[in-house]
Amino acid sequence: MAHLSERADRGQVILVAAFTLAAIFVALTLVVNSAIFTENLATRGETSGASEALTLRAVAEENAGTVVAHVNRHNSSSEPEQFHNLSAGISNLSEGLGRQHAVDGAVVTLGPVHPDNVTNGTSVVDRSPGGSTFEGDSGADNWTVVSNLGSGDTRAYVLNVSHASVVDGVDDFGGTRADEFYVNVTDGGDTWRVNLTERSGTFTVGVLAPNGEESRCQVDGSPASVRVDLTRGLVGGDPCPPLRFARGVGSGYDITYNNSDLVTGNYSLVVEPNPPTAGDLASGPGTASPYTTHAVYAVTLRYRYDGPATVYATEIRVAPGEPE
Amino acid sequence: MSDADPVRGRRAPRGPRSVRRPADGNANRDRTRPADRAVSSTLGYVLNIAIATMLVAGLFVAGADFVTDRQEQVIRTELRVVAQQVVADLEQADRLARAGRGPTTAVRIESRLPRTVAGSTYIVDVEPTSEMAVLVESTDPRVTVTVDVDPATPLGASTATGGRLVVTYDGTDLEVADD
Repeated sequence: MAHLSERADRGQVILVAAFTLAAIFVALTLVVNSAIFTENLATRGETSGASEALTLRAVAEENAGTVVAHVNRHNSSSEPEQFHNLSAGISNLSEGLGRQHAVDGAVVTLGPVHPDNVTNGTSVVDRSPGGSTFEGDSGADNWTVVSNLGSGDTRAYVLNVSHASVVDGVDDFGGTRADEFYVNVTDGGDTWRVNLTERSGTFTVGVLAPNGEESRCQVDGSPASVRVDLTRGLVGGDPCPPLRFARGVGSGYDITYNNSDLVTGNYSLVVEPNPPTAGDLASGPGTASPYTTHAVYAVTLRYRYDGPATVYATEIRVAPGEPE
Repeated sequence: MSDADPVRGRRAPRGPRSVRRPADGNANRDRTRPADRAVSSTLGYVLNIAIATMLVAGLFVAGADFVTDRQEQVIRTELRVVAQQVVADLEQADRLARAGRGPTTAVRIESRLPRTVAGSTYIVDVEPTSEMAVLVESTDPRVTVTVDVDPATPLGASTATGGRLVVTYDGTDLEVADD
């Protein structure tokens, strides 16, 4: 070997190489760190809370619906009174929702009620204590409840009938039968019909569509009373798919009752025209006759959700029991 | 020295050595060996250094190449993850916008994304072309990742840099922006 040097600083090149390799490894560390972080980033779930915004919207809509139904049921003497009650009710609801969800770190508000956003309507009610037959104010068995309604003008149409009062027989869709109670929704050309019968403890709701299609929904077990919700499509609380209110019937329809002495119970519905084209109805409560009263048909509110990472603001239309 | 003398028939006597042996015997011996002629120690030195340096340089190049290659791979993976997170936020905002009612629906979703990927910054680009996609591109090295998105709400052309990103819907279209 060449005689290099007596001094002790040998291997400079190797030292420099080692330092530079160390620097390269540090750069590699940065890359590896990034790779590990990517794994973490990829496994993060949805943390923005957007689905909660949608869930709370549905909750707010449902609760607001309850407020509207309550306002309509109690103290429906005048429109300003109802507006005042509705306003106060929605305000309380907004406060309650806000407080409940502030704990989870979200601010939820349900906007104040503006008079322009309230659609006033009329409620047709027959609610005698203990139930009564469904005859009109004049006592007629076959009479018009409301006439000249447009599509989307009826909601929350509920019949609460006593099981024992309906006729015992197999339902008959052909022609007009004289011994079963049925509701007709007709625009002059197309007719949608619902009839109520019972046989051997089974309560049957029959639906006749304008195209001639017949369907039935039944409740077994001889219940004392059955709740039939025509606009929500429920019979005894269970969904009844054929029960789609006024399906196939055009605008300008009338709702009529036939053989209304063959059923006992109570019913109510809310219609949008205010006042509606007069049917055979009394103008106020007090008698055993069905009557009309002021009602809120729908209200549009502003819903706002302010979560940690999500802000969602939109309008919601509250019209409980409105058909889809 | 110790040749037998055939005439005389006896060895020459081994007397005391009169020739002085040198203290470092090997060096002296090397100087006389034929392999050492015309050899310059400087040249040996330089060759040594050159070979060592070339080896080390080769090592550097391979090492740097390796790191760059890994870096690009990691950047590509991380950009894909970032793009998919942005798409997830866009689709979440789309869901909220569709569920909303009325022209005054407003949606705003914030998300925290890493500011750099493996040492490089990046941009997020939303393109409402015929193939709707979210394009994420890093600055250096230039790596581009595209993820398709298909919301029902229209997309608005917008760009955001990495870090804190916000997806907004103002009633017309979905956009991304810096927070």
